[in-house]
Amino acid sequence: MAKIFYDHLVRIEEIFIEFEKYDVQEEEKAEFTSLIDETVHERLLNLILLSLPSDFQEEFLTLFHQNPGNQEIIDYLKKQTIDIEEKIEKEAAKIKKEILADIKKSRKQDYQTISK
Amino acid sequence: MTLNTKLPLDSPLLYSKLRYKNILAEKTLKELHPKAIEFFNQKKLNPGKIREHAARLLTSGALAGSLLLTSPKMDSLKMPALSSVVCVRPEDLQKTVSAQLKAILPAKTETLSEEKERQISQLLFNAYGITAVAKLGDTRLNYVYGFMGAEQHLPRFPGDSVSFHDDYQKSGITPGLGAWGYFAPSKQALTPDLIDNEKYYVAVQTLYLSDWVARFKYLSDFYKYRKVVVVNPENGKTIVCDIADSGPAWWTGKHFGGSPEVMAYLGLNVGMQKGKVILYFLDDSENNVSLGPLEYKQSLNQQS
Repeated sequence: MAKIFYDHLVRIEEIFIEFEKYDVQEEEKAEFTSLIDETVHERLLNLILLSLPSDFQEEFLTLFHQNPGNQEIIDYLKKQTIDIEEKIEKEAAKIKKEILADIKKSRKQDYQTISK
Repeated sequence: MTLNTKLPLDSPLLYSKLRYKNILAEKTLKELHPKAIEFFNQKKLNPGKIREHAARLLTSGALAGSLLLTSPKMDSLKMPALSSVVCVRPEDLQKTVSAQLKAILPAKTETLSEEKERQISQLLFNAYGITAVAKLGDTRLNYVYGFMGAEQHLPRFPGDSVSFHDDYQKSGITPGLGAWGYFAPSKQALTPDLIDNEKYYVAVQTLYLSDWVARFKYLSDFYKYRKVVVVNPENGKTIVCDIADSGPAWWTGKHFGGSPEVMAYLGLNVGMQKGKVILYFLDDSENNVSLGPLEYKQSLNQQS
């Protein structure tokens, strides 16, 4: 399984459980999932780079590129930054909250039981 | 005519919202970290697609060797290779898992042979890269293939009520505590991890284990919030759960219980509120796999 080293800190599964409540085509769900995953990576990378002194950024990027699932990267980051795990968890929770809110706002207002 | 009680969603609206969020994230990254973007450009890699890059590394064999080394007895089993099972979309992955499980499982729930148990471990490893086993050390449940029935929410702290739970409040809350008591001593002490422990809990029949009394101290520690993988063979949906309660009683005809969230995800919260599942221990000593549905992260692994 292609894991990313921070996956265990990213608890956004609730979003996909939320999707199960809605009448969404599987293809659409796959598109949403892909967009969400990309956003998570970009925002977490931004967070990590903001937390990491510039002297260490290239080394981090090299490690990340060589093996994105390498659990030693988190140990590396813990040495060079402060509370990075907590920050990643918080950012992921923030993303989850935003997306759950987006889903709720996208619910059609004229809800009624649909018959097929 | 069948009734679909799912909520209607304005999919184009949600897509535009998610796309906008994605564009903003990409723009921020570019503006704040131009050197990092240059690094990724040189590698011809989009930071947002890092999981696909990781999957390519795995399937190209660069990392596969080390992954296999951590999984006992996997090499002797003749099952499809990782690259032939990994699919892009969750629903494809679910279909693959479902089809392969059905080919292994007998029609009726019964004790599985060691060979079948190993085949299922191999299947789960191929599909998700996880080490899931029927027997962990010397410890195993009486059943790994059986009926899972619906359970209610569990009280997480003194004073907890069903209205404090995020979802599926109609399922109610048990009057008694789970097997390990409250999840937290107070509402303030309830962490996200503990919330997930209740949300994704399962009940297993520890009370019917032949060695439960003799090995009580060891086994109660072993089973407390032990991670398990639950798969519905009918639809291939797969979820990582933790053991937080004991039951159901044998006379119910069920072998496991699932929280309202677990049952809903597996698609078993309809009709008789029960269905056949596979339940395996997850060997996750490094705590790399979080609780909840498994296939969504995996589904993004390979879009090359």
